Amino acid sequence: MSTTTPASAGAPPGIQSSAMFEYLGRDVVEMDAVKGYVKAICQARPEFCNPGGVIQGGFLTAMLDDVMSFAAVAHSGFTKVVPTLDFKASFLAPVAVGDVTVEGSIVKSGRSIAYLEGKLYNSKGELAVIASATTQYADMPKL
Amino acid sequence: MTWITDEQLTTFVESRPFSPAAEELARKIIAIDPSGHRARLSFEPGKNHCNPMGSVQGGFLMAMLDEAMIEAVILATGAEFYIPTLTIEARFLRPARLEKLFVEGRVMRLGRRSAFLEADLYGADGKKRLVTARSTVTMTSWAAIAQKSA
Repeated sequence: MSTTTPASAGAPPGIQSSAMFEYLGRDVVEMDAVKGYVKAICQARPEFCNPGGVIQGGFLTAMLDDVMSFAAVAHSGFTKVVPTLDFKASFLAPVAVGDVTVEGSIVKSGRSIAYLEGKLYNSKGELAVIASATTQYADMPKL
Repeated sequence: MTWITDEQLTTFVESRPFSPAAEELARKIIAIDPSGHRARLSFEPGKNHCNPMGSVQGGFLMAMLDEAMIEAVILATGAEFYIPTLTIEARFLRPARLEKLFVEGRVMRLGRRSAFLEADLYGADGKKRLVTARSTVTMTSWAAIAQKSA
């Protein structure tokens, strides 16, 4: 039972819109809740640049953390949240201002722990960041 | 291994180029240890940096940790290197609330072309450690980059 359009159908409003999602310009374009896979577009804005004129890595990890978590939250049927225990990211190519594509997916989801991975592609379509995270399911608070 | 907060700090802070990302997180360099290769920074995140649970999102905390670690290497190498982060790893010990946050970045080992760094992030009381991180960075001289692109 995979959901495709609209991509975030079934997600409670709090998960679909918050100041942070607006800030990152995150737009979910593809979702498979059963597999635990989400593809989103995020906006790498000029305010996110380091002195070198490319996006500061931490802002890219913010996009990845968000989209990777969304994959696990969707997999739980939007009944759980997934606080991150640890997160590792490697930066393979610079990211310029513009739209980036972020993929988040579940590698393994147990009863309480979900291992996630993520990939971020820059506007040229190059694989720019790879990430992995360990997360722990918790009940979704009433928003 | 001495923390410096006087004119030498002001000189260092004024030598740093403008960073939109640092500005976004209201970064301040509050103390440096030039001989011990350590830097203390403070940040004031905003609502934009919070997840729907109201905690500061982990990715932005990693941005703060990365900033502090880079400043620590700059103290060790001077400003003539371009220092991209290769890999960063963070462990989230406690949630970070929307408050002033403090980060200490340190150089664990400085090589000729790469460096291994560490950082810890603390809450507003400056005592409770919320996140700990490590990163690996590489150093390329700006002169070498200019030569390559010429």
